[in-house]
Amino acid sequence: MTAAEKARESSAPEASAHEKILIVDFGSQVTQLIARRVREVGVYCEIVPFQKAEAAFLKMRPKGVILSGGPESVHVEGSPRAPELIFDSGVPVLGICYGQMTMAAQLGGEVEGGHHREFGRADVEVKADSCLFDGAWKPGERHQVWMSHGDRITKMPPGFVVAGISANAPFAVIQDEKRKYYGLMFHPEVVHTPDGAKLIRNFVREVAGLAGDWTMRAFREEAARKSARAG
Amino acid sequence: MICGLSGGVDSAVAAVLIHEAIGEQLTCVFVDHGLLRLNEAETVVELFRHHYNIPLVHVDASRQFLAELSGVTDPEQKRKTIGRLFIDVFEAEAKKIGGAQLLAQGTLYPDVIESVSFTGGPSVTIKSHHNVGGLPERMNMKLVEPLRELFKDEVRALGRELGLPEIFVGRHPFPGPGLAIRCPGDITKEKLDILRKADAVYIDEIRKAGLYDQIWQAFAVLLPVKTVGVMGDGRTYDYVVGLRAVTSTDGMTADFYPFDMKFLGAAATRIINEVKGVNRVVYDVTSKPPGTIEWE
Repeated sequence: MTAAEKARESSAPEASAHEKILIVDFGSQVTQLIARRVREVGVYCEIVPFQKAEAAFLKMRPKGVILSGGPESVHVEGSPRAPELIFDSGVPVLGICYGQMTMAAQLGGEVEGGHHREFGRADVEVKADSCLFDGAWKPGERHQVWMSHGDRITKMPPGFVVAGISANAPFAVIQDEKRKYYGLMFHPEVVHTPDGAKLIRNFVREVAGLAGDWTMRAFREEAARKSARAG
Repeated sequence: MICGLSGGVDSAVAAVLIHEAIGEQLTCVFVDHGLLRLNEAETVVELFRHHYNIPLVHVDASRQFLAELSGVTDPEQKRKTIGRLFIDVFEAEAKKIGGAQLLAQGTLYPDVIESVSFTGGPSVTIKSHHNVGGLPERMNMKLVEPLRELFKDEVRALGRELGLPEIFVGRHPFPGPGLAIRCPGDITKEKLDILRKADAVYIDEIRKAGLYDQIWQAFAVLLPVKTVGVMGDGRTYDYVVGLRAVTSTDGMTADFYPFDMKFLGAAATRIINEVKGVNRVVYDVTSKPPGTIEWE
């Protein structure tokens, strides 16, 4: 540890009192956008690389976990996985793109690699009601989303049902509403998925049930208290 | 505790937030490198000394900076020279204040997020674009970074919450080396003064047209080229001003802003009429990539 890191360490703010979402980063170029969408609905979240996700999960005690996209294929040996304790803990999980693939593979589903690549705009056809779609999407409707993936699910894990399909992906949206697990093959965090922010909001506020009390007014008061102690 | 002010939003919000907590124990140091926009230094001094009543050391180091930058034309060399001088001046002032054990910085969340590395295990690449890099270790001070959990838009919201004026909080991003990198080639006070005036007219036109908040970043550049013109009955031989305006959601990619030609014509006319030393105005229609937002 360099002196700068030490100086930093010593002044790092304590974990905030707010309920939190943990975002496990698998290396997507747009992971920060997930955090932006979560913060925009008044919920505090932190991004942690997958290698450190287990420690962060134990420290943060998040009320929900979002697994990001990433450039790897779950078929590559040694490709990253989500810590098993996240699935053992019972917290709601939203898997996006690679996050959906690794969630499906880890929970007993099957994923195939590389044959049906889908990039850019695509349409999702809504097949079932979902807590994720509340106030946004209804069964039978088609909605524009933004895809970027090489892997796709061929068999869902036990307990999951299909909530949305696309031309190349029969499992574009999968869910196990009992365990509060959701998987999206598309990226809800980018503006090219026009309703994506609503879906993320629903996961954070409705599925995970966070209050949305992360405001700059609250931050101001907390930060003032912390600085007062530091000074 | 001391806090370095750059003139930008982040350091100002950090300072006001800390002052709210510890009051008079905070001293702010504002190093004016002479590369700021028109009236920028005055605005900061007015805001801190009079509006917030926060102790502020205003160091006018513009002569020193301009002297050291004289003859420096390479963009990287400009940045390095400014960075080194900034630390020297800041350190000297911090020593004069004496006894400070804590140094506050406006570090933001994107600066400290650890990135995923697939090759060498977990990567801890904390980016170091701090104004005062290396200083805490040399002076044995601890860092305080009250904004390190926040994104830029949250810092702006916090600034509004703290009562910072909208015109200050909503300002476009401005680079640390300031106008030095908007003045390609050799930097002189004369050129900087021309650039400051042209930039102020351009921004004023954008604000009047109601376009400021739709644009991510807009600024003028003074080209190191003189061209021939005719004004009144006389022939002129003056500088060219380049205008830049881009839209972006994150600064990573950007498109040039599609101004109406009437707007550009009016802005060019005003700049040439009001700013002595300029007789030609051009508009930059390059996106990022392949271009960058700034010119250097």
